[in-house]
Amino acid sequence: MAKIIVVTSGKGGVGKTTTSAAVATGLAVAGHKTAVLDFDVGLRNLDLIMGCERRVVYDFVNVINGEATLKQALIKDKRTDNLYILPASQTRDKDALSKEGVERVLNELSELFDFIICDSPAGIEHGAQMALYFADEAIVVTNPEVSSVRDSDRIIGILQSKSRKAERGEPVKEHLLLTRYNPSRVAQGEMLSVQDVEEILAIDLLGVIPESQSVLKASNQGVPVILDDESDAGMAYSDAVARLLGENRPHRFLEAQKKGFLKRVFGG
Amino acid sequence: MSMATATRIPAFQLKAGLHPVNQLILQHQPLAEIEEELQRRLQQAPDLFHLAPVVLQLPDSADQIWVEGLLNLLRNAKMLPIGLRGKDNLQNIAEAVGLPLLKDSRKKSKQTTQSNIPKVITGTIRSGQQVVNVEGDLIILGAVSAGAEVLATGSIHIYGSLRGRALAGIQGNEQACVSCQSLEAELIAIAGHYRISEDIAPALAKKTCVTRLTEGNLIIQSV
Ligand SMILES: Nc1ncnc2c1ncn2[C@@H]1O[C@H](COP(=O)(O)OP(=O)(O)OP(=O)(O)O)[C@@H](O)[C@H]1O
Ligand SMILES: [Mg+2]
Repeated sequence: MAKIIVVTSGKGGVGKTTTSAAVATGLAVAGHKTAVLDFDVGLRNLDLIMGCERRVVYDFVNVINGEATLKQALIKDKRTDNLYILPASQTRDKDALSKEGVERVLNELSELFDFIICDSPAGIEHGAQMALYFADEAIVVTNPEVSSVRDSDRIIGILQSKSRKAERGEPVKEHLLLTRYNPSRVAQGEMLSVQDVEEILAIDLLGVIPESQSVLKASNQGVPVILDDESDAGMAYSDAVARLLGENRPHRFLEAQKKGFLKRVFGG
Repeated sequence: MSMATATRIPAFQLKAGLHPVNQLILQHQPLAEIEEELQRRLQQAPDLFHLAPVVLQLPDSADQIWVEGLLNLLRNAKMLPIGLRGKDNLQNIAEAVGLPLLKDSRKKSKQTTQSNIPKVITGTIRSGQQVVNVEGDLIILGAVSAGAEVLATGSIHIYGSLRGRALAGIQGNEQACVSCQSLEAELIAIAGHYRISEDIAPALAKKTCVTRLTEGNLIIQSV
């Protein structure tokens, strides 16, 4: 039986797909059979970040509609063993995701994998609800700004009331992942601090991913940033995956980089 | 004439009063049994009923002979029955024995005494969620997020931060109050009187506060 983890946020563009790709890759690297599913039907981009867009033949909706088998639609990752991608359709809309269809696909995947990562679309509508409905755990991706925190709060409320686990009276384990964190802007009071966000959302902190050039670079190359072990964002994602697997690691990259000696003397 | 009435000192004044009076709640039992019980109680506490005014709550089936016997029995025990209570059909008996049949205040009590069945919620109330108690107080063991709303006919007590909206006394109870551990509210209302965050003094931000309605004004105080 696989553990189903939804990556969700409410607000758009906060880093869900970046996180889904990184976490799925990190779990696979750690030796766990992992599938990552793109629920963002109509706006395919998980496959781009995973660098497998040219190998997409069938997609999630084809499988739901019985137009392809799961085995036909799953794309095996080229770089990382144990990792498979189920891409979204670009030509359908999110209503194509029926609850029964999604359940059937997840049940079938559950037999084959240890982890199923569901990359949710933005918003709180049908697509987002389908992505989170069957989840055992949730990674709530949040940027350190008021509107993102507000939307995360909203999505946590939906997890706690409208997910299958909630309907059965069981808790969904929620993890807070603070992304695009910019310590110097926090210090200047332009962004919320880790403590502010933790206090408002009141769920466990899985990790803090710094705002980093390496993320854009990685996604342009179609390589999940977690594989860039030189980059701060890559290392922060590795820490987060280790914590997800139960390891206890201290949080890094929470403080602004100290300015170098010359910069302090000459400004800049 | 007008001068005369204006200067005359009235012979008496009429003033409504509320005095607590003990009630004897009676079943339609043989008087001998009631007397036995009375003697037993008087032995335990001889002064309990001495010249004590009492109202008799009569059973529906009471008849005049039984009531007269009952009154004798109580007066012999030095009690002072001052009124009867019971169904309207006891009016004739009341007149016959010379005591008032007091109006059953049950109907009135529904309006004046609010029943309170508190509701306790554990955990944070998230943005977009609404929690209501239409039967009394609401107690939140957690925070109320911005964009969340909590409502109660009674008071609201939040053992956490109030960042959303809290509306107490939603059916007009002006005695209701709102308390919270950290005040960051979007809106606080009691019985329809409200304050939005802009109207809350910045000095109260993040303070433990109680909000009450005093003479039509919402007063927020840190405690
Ligand atoms: N830690 C980071 N540092 C810098 N840029 C980032 C970081 N995380 C994400 N981004 C950038 O933010 C943008 C949105 O990221 P991503 O597509 O992962 O978000 P999303 O939540 O999946 O968006 P959508 O809601 O549209 O699905 C991308 O351009 C990505 O490169
Ligand atoms: Mg996305």
